[in-house]
This record gives sequence, C-alpha cells and structure tokens, in this order.
Amino acid sequence: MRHSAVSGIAAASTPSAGGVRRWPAALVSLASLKLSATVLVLLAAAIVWSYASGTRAAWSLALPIALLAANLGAAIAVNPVFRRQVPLLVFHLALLALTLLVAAGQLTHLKGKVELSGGEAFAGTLHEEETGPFHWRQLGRVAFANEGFEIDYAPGLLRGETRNRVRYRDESGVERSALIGDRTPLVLHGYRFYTTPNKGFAPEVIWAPAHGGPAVRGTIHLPSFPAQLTRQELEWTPPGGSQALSTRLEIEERIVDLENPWMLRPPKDHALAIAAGGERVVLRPGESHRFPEGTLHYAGMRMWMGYSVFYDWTMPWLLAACALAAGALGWHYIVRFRREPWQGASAGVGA
Amino acid sequence: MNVELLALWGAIGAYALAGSIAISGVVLGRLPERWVLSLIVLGLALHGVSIGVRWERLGHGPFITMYEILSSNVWSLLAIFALAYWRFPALRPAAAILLPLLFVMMAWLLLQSPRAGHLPPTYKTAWLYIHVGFGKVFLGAVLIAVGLGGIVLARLTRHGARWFAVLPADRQLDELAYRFLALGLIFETLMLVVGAIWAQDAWGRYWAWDPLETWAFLTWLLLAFALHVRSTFKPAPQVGAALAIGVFVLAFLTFFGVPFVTTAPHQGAI
Repeated sequence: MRHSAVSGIAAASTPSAGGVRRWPAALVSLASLKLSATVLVLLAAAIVWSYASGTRAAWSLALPIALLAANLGAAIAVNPVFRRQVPLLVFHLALLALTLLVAAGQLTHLKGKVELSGGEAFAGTLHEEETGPFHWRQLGRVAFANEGFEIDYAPGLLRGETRNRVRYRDESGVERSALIGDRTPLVLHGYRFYTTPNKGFAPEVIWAPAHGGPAVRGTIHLPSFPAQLTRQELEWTPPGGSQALSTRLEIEERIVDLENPWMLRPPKDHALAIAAGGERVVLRPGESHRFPEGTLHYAGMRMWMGYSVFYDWTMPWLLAACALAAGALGWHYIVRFRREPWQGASAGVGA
Repeated sequence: MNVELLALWGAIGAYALAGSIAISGVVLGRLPERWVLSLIVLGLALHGVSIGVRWERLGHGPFITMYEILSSNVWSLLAIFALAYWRFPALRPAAAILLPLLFVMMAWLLLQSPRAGHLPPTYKTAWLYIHVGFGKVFLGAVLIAVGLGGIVLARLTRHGARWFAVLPADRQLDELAYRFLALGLIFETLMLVVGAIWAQDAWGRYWAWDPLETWAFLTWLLLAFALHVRSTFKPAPQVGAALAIGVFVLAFLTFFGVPFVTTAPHQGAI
C-alpha cells in the first residue's frame, strides 16, 4: 500500500469543479476562528495599553489590525461559509476595506491649526501640523480670509453659537462669502477649516525699528479668552529686535457676564500695559511709545480665531464601507434568524 | 412639587410596583404578566410626561446632565424591555432580574441634582438624536440578553431552577440572547458610525481615541468577541450568559461612567 506524502498540505479543503481543493496548512492556520478571537483580545489589550499609558504609537494598533486583516483575508479564501453566506462575506469584506481605507487615510492625511486675526488672509502655512508621509500638499491653493466673528455665551463661561464670516475663493476662482461655525466648516480643495473654542483678543500694533527699517504691522494673539480670563498677557519680541516686550491687556469694563447671556466682543475700555527692560508703559488705542529698539504704535483691538484644519480624502469611502458593513450585517442576521426559529436551538447547534 | 418631579415619582412608583410584583410572582410561581406590563407602560407614560415637560422647559432634550441621561436611559431601557416582554413570553420572568437592575439606576437618578445643564452648540444637530437613538437600542438589546442570561445563570441554583422551570431550555434561551446580542452589534456599529459623522463636523475629526470613543470601541470589540466565541467554541449557555453580562457591564461603565470622569470634548467646551 502506498501513502502519498502530503506534508505542508492541510486537511482543510473546499470542493471545486475538478475535485477537492486543498489549502496550505499555513493559510488554514491563519484563517482560524480561534485566531480571530485571540487577535480581537490582542487588539483590545493594545487599545487599553495605549489609553492607559498615554502613548499614541500607531504600531501598537496597526500590528493587531494587520493580523486581523490577514486572518480575515485567509478566512475568506479558505472558509466555505463565506461562499454560502454572501451577506457575511460582504460584511467582512467591508471591514477589510475599512482597514485599508483607514491605513490610506493615515498615510495621506493632514491635521493642523492656524490662527487668523479679523481681516487676515490665510497664507498657506499652518502654525502646527501633522501629516501622513504621502500627503500631497495643496494648501497653497486655499485662499480665504477671516472677516470677523461673534460668539454667544450663556451666563458665565458657557459657550453658545459661533458665527464666523469668511471670504474665500472657490474652486473655480470666484470670490464668495460664507458664514461658518460650530458644525459648518469651510471646505476648500478637500481641506476642512473648522472654528474652534480657541480664540481671543488680538491687539493690532505697528513696529517701527529704531535703525530706520520699514515699519511692520501685525497683531499679538493674546491667550484664549475667556478660557484664560485672568492671564491675558504675552511676551513677544518685535521683528528684528532682541528685547522681549511683555504685553498685558488691562480690561476696564465687564465683558463676561455671570448672570445674563452675553456676546464675546473686543473691549472698548482697555489699555495695553507693556514692560521691557525695567520700563513699563500703558498704551491706549492710537498711542505710541519709543523703546530703545523702536517705536510701538497701538492701532486698536481686533480678535483672532483658531481654526483646526483637516484633510482626509478617504472619508466618503469610509462612510460607504461603514454603510455597507452595517447593511450586510443586518441582512446576514435577518436571513439567518428567519431560517430557524430560536426555539429550535438544541445542544450542539452553533451560531 | 412641580409636574416634572411628580410625574417622575409616579413613574418610579409604577416601575417599583411592577418589579415587586414580578419578583414575588416568579418566587411564588404565579407571575401576573399583564399586571407587570401594564404597570411598566403606566410608568413609561408618566416618565414620558416628566421628560417632555423638562424638554419643553429647558428647550433641549435629556442629553447633558447625569440626571437627564439616567432618566432618559431608564425610560428607553424599560421601553425596549416592555416591547420584548410583549413579543417574547419566554422573557417575561426576566422582569424579576432586570427590573431590580434598573432600580439601581433609578436610585442613582434620584440622588442626582435635577439642575439644568448647558447644551453645547455642537449638540444642535439631528445627528445627536440618531446617535443617541442607536445607542439606546444597542443598550436595550444587550439588556434583554442579560435578562435571558440571568435566567440561565439563576437556574444553576436550586431556587432558580424551580422558579424558572417552566421556561424553554437553557440552549434556547441562549440562542435568543445571542440574537439580541447580534441586534446589539448592528446598532452599536450604527451608533459608532453616526457618532463619527457627528464628531467630524463637531470637533474637526471623525475619530480621535478620546475616552468615550475608546471605551465604546472596546465595547464593540467585546461584543464582536462574544459573537465569535459563540461561533467558534460553541460554549455552554452559562458562558454565553457571562459574556452578555460582561458586554453590558462594559457598556454601562462606558456610557454612564466615562463622560462624567473626563473633560474630553464629549462634554462640550468653553
């Protein structure tokens, strides 16, 4: 009697037109439902570890997710259940698609922040940003300006609606105006600009260097208001200078109302207290002072808005994959549960 | 005492009576099923009045304070249970297990201050209602699975075996519990997806692993794990029951614990 050598070929098989199809043992092992359950536990453990330790290492999640994806791919290839139960297959394929889309999104995304004073145009650069290695930068094409905003507050520090008027150039180059706010971003060339609770006062100043260079006009973004209600001060160095100027806003009226609804607005009665090298001066709008390195003119108070910027081209595809996954899952269970009443379950009948 | 609080107390009284009758009915072997359902429905009606009056007064729904969230969840969990109670007679004795569980939530509710909270501007969207709605169906479905699992575990005791003797076999109750867990998975999936849609325009990103998102996803993973375990290992009904309880405990801690111990965006911002 002859025994054929079958090393490396698993007993698991699926019927095919020409006979029984045999899968490599490694693929069958990779397709194991026991592995699925194990890797789900590993993924949960990785998430708990990342959360508890405060680390946000992408690899800690990417590894179990990649293993789950491999497990799922192998299971789809090997397990005949997926050929018999199409909705189950569609659900799991949608999960695979989700994984790949999330990975693609991570590789090409952009997240960032930029602050613009009232009247200031976006210059194509962000103050903070995080991008995927394959993000194709199009921020230079984005043209918009902050035209000012209003924010309603309930009594105290409870923020209500934000209404930010912006002027922008749309994708066909036409100049338009829009009102954006808490749930309404400005979307240009795929980049989404959101208003944030990070906003505050922006004294506008003109600095004329003592050595005779050109005067520079700009704004000082004081800390977020009213989050930093009692710490409205900032140390900054004028362009071309070496001496820092410590600038504090002294508000001489009540802006925050603890008993009635109020609206965030620039203070009318206020002054800027500026300290440098032992010298301290108080400037009101329209006043100037000569410092050793130049003359500072205080033009008036504006406000600045912090925008969060987000780019991820995969979002509509993610939504489609999620909808497909949820629909297929529902369809699978409807078919399965209609096929057999629950009262028919007996020992040994599986899922 | 105003209408809102009177109606709430009336509702809790009706629920407490329903639960007491359910417990004594199961213990004595004669459950007056219609009385239990009628009292739950009466409680739901009164409770609905309380929630509605408060909604009208404050101009927003029960989404902000612990008082509001507990109140709306007691209502929705009992509403889903009442529906399942009517549809699945085998589930009815589970009232003796589930109503006492909900008594704990009601007691917690009564200890909360009914002060008004501030509705953040990011909550003024239809996605809030859809997200919360899906979440309530998810939690209700898992609660039903817990009730069925509770019967299976209670039968491990001498008294439990006697009290629940007339019900279908453990394997059948386990199958029904599995179906409710599957329903829970669908609705939790929908809840997470809609939550991401809402988060994108509320906070400028669809997912950021904030504490509530993280724990909600862990709950989804545990639920997926429970369903996979059932498919793979064909465990005993008692194991299925324990998994259902585990999912509910994690979901409960996620939705009633996490939002109130963090200052993450799910709480609104200055």
